[in-house]
Amino acid sequence: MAKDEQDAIGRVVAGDRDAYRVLMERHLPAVLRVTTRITGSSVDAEEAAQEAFLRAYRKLPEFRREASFGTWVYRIAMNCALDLVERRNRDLNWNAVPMDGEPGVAPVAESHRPSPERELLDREARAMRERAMQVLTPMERTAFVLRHMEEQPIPVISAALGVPENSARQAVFRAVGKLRKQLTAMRRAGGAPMIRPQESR
Amino acid sequence: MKNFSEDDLIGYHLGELSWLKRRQVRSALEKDAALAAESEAIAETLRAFGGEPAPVVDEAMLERSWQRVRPALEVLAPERSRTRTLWMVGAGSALAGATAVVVVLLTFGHRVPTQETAIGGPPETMAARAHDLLEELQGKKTASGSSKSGTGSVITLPDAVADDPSLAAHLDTAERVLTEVSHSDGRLQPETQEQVHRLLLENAMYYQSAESRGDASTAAVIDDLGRVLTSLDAEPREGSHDEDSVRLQIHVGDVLLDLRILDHGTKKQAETAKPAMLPASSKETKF
Repeated sequence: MAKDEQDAIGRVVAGDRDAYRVLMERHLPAVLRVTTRITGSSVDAEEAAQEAFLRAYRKLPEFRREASFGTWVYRIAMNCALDLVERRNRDLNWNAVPMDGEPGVAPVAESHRPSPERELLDREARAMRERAMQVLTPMERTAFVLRHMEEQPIPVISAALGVPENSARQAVFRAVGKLRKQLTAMRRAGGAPMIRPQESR
Repeated sequence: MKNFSEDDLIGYHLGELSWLKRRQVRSALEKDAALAAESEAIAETLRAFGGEPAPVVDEAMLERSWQRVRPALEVLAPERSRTRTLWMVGAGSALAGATAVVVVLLTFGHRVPTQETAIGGPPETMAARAHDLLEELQGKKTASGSSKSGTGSVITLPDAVADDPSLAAHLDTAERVLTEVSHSDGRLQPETQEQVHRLLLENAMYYQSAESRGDASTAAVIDDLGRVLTSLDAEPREGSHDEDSVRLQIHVGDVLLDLRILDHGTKKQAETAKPAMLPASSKETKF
C-alpha cells in the first residue's frame, strides 16, 4: 500500500475525518465501476459506493495495515451493491434510472469522441444488454459481473456473495446460460447488434 | 467421444476448467461442429457483455459523494484510548454476563424448557438441517441450468426455477441466509432473523404457486425450505428474555396458522382443479 495511503489511514484513525477524502478520491473510480456494473443504475451505483466507503470508514480501526485498502473497500462495495439490488428487487415501488441512455445516466469513458450515429447505436446496445441482464437474479447478476466483467476469481466472488465456491460458480454458469437465451430471443426479435466492433475480444 | 455440457463450455470460456478438461474440450471442439457452434454462441454472449466502458468519475461526482459521506463520518477515537475503552467495556460486560448466567441458571435452570427443544432442536441440528437443505437447493438450481445431450451439443432445461426469476431470486437469497446460518454459531443475529422471517412469508406464496401449477418437485423443496425457515424463525433472538420468547411463540403461531390456511386452500384447489396432479407422497420427493 502506498505510503500516503498509510498516512491517511493513520490520520483518520487518529481522529482526522477529512483525511479520508484522500482514500475516497483514489478508490472511488474502481468502486463506482463495480457498483455500476452490479446495480445497472447510476443512482444506485453512487449510493452503494457511498455506503461502501462509509462501512469501510467505520471498520477502519480493524483494518490490517499490511493489506490493500483498495482491495478491501472494493470487496465491501461488491457486497453493498448486491444488498442494494436485493433491496430494490423487494421494493416494487423503486424506479431507479436504468443504464439505458435515459437522462441521468452516468457518462462513460470513451477513448475518442464517437459520431452521433455511433453514440446512438452504443446507447441502444447498452440498453439491450441491460434489459437482458434483468432476467438474472441479484446473485447471478453479481456473480456474472464479478467473474466476467471484473475478472475476479471464484473464491473472491464466493466470499462477496457469502455462498460456497460451487454455488458462486453455478451462479455464473446459470447467468451465462440465461443471457445466451435472452440474446438469441432479442436477435430473433430483430434487435440491434449488441457488440461494438472495438468491444470484441 | 466424450460429451460436454453447456456448463463445461461456459467453464471453458471463463477459464474455470482444469488443464486436462480444457484440453479435452478443445480437442472435442475441433472434431464436433455442433459443439463448436454451441461454443461460439457462448463466446458471442460473453463478448456482448464484455468491454463495458467504465463510468467517469469527475471532480463534481467526487465532491458530491464526499459531501454525502462526510456528515456521517464520526470522529474515530485515538487507538490507544479506544483499545483501553474496549478492554474496560469488554471486561465489564464479561463480568456482568457471567453473573447473569449464574443467576439465571440457579433460578430457572431446571424449570424452563429451552426454545430449541420446544421448537427447532439444538443449534447444531439446525445447522445440519440448513446444510442438508442447502445441498438440495444447490442440486435443484444446478439441474435447472443445463443438461448434457447425447451428441455433444447442449440442451437448456427450462423448469419452474429457470422460468421464474422471482422464485430463482428467492432460492438464491434463501441459500445465502442458510449458508450464513450453517456457518454461524449460537443465536441468529437480528438482521438474519428478520431476513428469515421475510423469506418464510415469501416461501408460503411460492409453495402455493408451485402446488397450484402441479409442480410437485419444486413444491417439495419449497416445503422443506419452509420447515427449516419456520424452525429458524422460532429461534429466540439474540439477547432475548422470557417475555420476548413468549411473544415470539405467539408470532410464530400466527405465521404457522397463515401457512396452514394457505396449505389448506392450495390442497382444496388442487383437489377440485387437478385431482390426480399431486401424489400423496409428493412432499417427500427429493432431487
